[in-house]
Amino acid sequence: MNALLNRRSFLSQTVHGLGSIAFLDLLSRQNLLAASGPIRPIIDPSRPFAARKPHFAPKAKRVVMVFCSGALSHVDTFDYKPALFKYHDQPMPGGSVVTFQGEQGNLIKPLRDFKPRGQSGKMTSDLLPKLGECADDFFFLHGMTSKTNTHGPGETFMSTGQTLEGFPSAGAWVNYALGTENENLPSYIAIPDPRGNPQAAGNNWSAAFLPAAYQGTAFNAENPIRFLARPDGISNSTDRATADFLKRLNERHLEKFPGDSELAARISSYELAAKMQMTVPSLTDLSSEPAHVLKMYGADDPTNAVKAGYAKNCILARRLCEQGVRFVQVFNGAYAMGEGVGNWDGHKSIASQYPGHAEILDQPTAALFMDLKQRGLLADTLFVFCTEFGRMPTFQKGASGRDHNPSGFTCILAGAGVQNGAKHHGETDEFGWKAAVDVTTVYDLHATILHLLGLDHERLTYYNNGFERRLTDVHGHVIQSALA
Amino acid sequence: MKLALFSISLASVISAQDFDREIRPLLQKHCIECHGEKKQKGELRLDAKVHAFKGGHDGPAIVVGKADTSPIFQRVTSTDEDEKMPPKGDGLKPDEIALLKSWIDAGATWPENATDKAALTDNRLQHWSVLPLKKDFPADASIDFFIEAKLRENDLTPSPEADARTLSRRLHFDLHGLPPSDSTGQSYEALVDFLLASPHFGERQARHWLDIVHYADTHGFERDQLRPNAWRYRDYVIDSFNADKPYDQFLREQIAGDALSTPNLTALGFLAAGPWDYVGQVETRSDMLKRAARALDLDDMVTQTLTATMGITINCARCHDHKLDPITQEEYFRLWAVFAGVKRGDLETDPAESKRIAAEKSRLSKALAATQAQITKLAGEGLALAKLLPEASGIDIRNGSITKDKLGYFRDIAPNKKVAVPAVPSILSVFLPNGPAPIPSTSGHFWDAIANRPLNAQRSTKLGATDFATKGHSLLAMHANSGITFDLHQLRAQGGLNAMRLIGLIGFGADKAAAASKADFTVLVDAELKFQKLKLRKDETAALDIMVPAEAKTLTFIATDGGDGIGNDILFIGDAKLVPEVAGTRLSESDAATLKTLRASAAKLDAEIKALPVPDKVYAIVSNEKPPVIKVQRRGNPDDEAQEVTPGTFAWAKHAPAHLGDNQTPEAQRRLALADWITHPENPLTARVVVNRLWHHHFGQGLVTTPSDFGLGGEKPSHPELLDFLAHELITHGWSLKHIHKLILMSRTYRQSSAAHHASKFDSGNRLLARQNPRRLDAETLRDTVLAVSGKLNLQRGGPGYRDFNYTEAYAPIYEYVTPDKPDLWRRSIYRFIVRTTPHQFMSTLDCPDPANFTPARAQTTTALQALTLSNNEFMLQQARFLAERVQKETHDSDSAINRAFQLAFQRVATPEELAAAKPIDLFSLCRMLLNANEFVYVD
Repeated sequence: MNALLNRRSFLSQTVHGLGSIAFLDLLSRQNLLAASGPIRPIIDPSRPFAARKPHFAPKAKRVVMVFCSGALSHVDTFDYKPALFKYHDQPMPGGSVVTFQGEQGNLIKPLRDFKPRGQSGKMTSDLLPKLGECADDFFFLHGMTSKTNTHGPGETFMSTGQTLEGFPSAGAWVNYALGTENENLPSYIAIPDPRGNPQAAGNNWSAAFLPAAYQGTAFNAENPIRFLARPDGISNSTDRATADFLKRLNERHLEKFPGDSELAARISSYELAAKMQMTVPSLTDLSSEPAHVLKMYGADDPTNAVKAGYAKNCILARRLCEQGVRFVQVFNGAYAMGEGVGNWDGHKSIASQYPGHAEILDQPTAALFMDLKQRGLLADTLFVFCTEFGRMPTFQKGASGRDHNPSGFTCILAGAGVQNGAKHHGETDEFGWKAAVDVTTVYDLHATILHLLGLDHERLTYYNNGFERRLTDVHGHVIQSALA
Repeated sequence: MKLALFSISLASVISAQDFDREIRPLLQKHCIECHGEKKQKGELRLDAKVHAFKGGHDGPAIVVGKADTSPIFQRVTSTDEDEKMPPKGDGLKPDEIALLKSWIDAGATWPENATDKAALTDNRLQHWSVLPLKKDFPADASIDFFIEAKLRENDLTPSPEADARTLSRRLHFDLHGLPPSDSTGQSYEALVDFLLASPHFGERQARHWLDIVHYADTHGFERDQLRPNAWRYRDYVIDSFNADKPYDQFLREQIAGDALSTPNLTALGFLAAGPWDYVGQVETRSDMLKRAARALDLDDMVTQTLTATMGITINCARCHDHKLDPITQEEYFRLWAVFAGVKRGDLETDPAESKRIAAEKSRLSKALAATQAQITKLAGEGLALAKLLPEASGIDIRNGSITKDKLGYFRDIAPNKKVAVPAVPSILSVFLPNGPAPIPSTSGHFWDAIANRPLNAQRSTKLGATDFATKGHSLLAMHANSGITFDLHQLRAQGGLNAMRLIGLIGFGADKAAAASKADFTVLVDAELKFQKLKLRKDETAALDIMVPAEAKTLTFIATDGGDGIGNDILFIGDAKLVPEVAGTRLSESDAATLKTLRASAAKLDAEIKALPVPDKVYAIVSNEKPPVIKVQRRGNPDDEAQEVTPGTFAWAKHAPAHLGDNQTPEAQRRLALADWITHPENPLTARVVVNRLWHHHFGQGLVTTPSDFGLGGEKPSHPELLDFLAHELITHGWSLKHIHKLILMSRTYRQSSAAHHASKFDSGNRLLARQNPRRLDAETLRDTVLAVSGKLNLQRGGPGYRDFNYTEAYAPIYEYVTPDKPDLWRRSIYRFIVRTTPHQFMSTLDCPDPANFTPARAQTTTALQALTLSNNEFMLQQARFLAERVQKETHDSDSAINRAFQLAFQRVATPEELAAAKPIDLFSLCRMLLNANEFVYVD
């Protein structure tokens, strides 16, 4: 049985007259509270989502993470490389390179021109003009690197800090550490793209070996929480009468086990479910949003259903932030339609694939960001924009697209506790191929996210099969220059 | 950079006595926080002499007599931010640096104090779990003897025996994972014996073992492909528990079943039960990624074998020596050398039978080839359709052009739009088919071209024994969805033919092992359907033999995707030919008769080949007789190798030598040696670990609460002598697990009531067992119980798992779960086809573990999503409805209906109060509610 959610261990910390073994338990637990040792949050099993204190004063209370699935090309978006325009269609110096799908052809300039944006004059591509306009509020990580060049493991790595399946996602770690400010809603929500799930699907929001309560609950504006609605053919009064009877029956059963928090927790889980049935439908019903908001996000676009769907997901993300949900992941791009069709995996014909994807991503994401800012939510919300890895500055031999590039790509941080002014940490080389200055790892990104939430990534741990596990494994440094 | 200013020699000042006054406090002040007992950054400790001189990850920290080359001195004087020690704060003062330098230069004298002496003996070697098993016990020793003694020591008394209904529920759920059916009134012991003897016992116990070995029916990782033969290992586990196979034999078979005098190959599924990375192992072109994937593979096998059998977290020693247990990194890699020749793959479970089938197939194929040669001789060579195209080329169906390139994936092609092929006059058109009936409708997607060479990604050009890419044969490859129409008028002119027959053999060119896939093939002569094979499977072929009349104008081939996507639908026709229809034409009557006989015998041989059984396979291992030599990998990095190692294991457990052979030892012998070492009767861990697992499943927690970690990081046993008593009982009773089950089940300790007890507040973890633990049903048991109560449980045993999902073949296959709504899907959960990467939402909401992980003890959570799922999920509603129907059918009035529903769900009738409360509620709602009650999901 899991020690964290073991009612008996929990009680051992609240009772003074301890039996000898319980006392030993307590001693071993105290050992973990030493100044530099691991910190495992203490969890009341009857309220696994109750808000818990961070390790130190946080800058951010919650996280919104926009994840571009399929590997968004940094050289076509935010990482400006004049040399690519200059050496367009010439071989990369240093000879031919073999990457994931094979041999590389010539260097190819970005799809669109780059222009200076805002006060900062940050050069970003016309492919994503509206996100470009937010640049003054962004902090760019231009020297990102990944450990894998394969999408599934890459997404898993970005979401969990491990390329293998079976490890908890960053959102699950945060949920485990901090609980939630709003116990009427799940505290960690993943919003899949309207086109479907990303390639690593549930790995991206898995709790793995953490208690399953900390997994992300996946739903979006079009596919609400499963089994939330009262089933067809059951009247409201019958449903309530059934629930009342259930409660009475469970309370009678509890009398035999007074103080048993597991049984009590199960009773209260039905009460929370009933509360969610009241609150969630109004949350996902966007009809109460004014027309100008729908328009700002592009949720009213009659010509582009996918964009409108993604825009609705972005509105939902903002609403969840307003409700105090701790961690929201918004996915842009889905796997099911195949390579590059429904996501950013532009191997074959990037010029025909990317503009459509950009149209879906740009306006809604920028609107989400600006809306968070306007409503003051950005003051305590961390905004993260990421993808699993970058793409090559060259085209693949025999194709008109770019192959995978884990050696250099761009992620963005913004909001609570983050530097603004379009500053950056890290740089890729002249062509945008490999991170060359301040090489940054996914571990560093995760360490920084946890830091902004008031968590020490080296001390937030969970014991599993012999390991004191961490989100950042044995790596990671907080990116100090990103901190405001 | 060195501080020249303080490089003056103070050697004469530093004496041995000064060490304790000057140097030890200096180390204490600046270094010990990160390099001491609590933390060992860089694996370096400076808190005791033996550690300090041994050094850390980067080698010795102190070079006696040479401060300048001593890393410790270099680091404290460095100005590089990443190098400087200590990393935080102002660092050492100049006079401290000078002291350190002179101490090292003067010979680094370190007189031993008590701490230094204590550090010389390794207490870890005396850890309880590696000490020999106790063998002498008092004559009256029993489970209750040990448990009750400890309760007395703590002034506690055991709880009274639970009532008969509770005991019956407890026994049924523990042993079978199913609720009791109507009571038979047998004695407690008779019930125990009955349940232990039932085949449902193995079904329940196997679930626990499969958790430990992270069994699933797909590979996992990005391309989560099917393992259609994995289930035979699952059945092996069930059968073994049912037969009470001696536990040592059970382990030996799973680790080295191919090397035993009585082989068992199915058992080897154990070594391959975990995930396998197709992309990293096979597909990637990067050797570095392949090495990394292989490293994960070997780590998985080693870790699974050692954690499952001996509860040692060996994997912690992959990047460095184990942090807690005295196990070195080299010892970890010696275990790699044991498995170095093992790869995962399908294995024939009965090689002799397979050989017989192969020989028979070869004989029949030869006879068929000879018959076909005779047919060709009589009927003529005919016209190979593939040869109409230029050599090694294809037709791009988007524009009808001839291309030598291998193309990729296309969509957005206008369906049924006939595109002319001007370069080949005898080909009228190509097109992307999409209905109308009888032509199946399609997804509109397409891959590569219609070609007379293998398609892009085509793995095989063989059907049966014939490789159609070899000389004298031809192939026409058509990925779904595509169509091609030949102009028969042109072909007659070319071949001088009149009435013709179309012959050929259709099959798949995709990797047969990769995944299931289906496709359709249709042949039209003019507009008339002459042949159609729908949902042709990847392992099937279909022969064409179609009459093409003299007046026919066109011949059309259509490949469509079988409704499951185009992935892997690489169809091709071997030796597609138009041959003269000879009946009544130029052949003599006797030749025509011979031809008829020959064709009949060819058809018969063909049928016989198809009727041959397919050898049974299990997803297990493929053994390489001469394994590669393994080297230690620094920091667990496959690209940073150090010294070579030989097969072996860790020396911490001292029951038998840790040396298991050399690098010449044949592969299977290495595993056999490891199996012998693990199952050695003096091995202190194997028996302790398994009896603790059994205890864990009967009490909700083990005597050791970390069932797969018996090392220093794990918990200590609450009752060490009892653990040894049970281990001793196991070994002295022929490793009979059922013997241990029965000892536990017959104990007073097990039979206690679980109701709250006066001890609860003293012993909140209930480790002293003054009462039983109430336990929640796990996901599988809950699902099986719902089905059992509703009367819909299908008890069919063994065989391929039920698949409650729709499967779509794709680069990464797509699994979409469906509501199980038919008896085939109402089997026990142990027979679920487990998909690794796409978790089953219903099951994982109920805490069914992710099979990427080893799960020695299941986590248990309580969430609103569980409440919503159990209240409103379609499966639950449907089963509640079935339960209501069942109750309705079995009773005649409302009181007896309510009582019957309570009886089925809780094995008791309703109390008068419950009866009154239930009356206003309709029967379906009542049943829905009962399936959500704590009393239903908990075993008291």
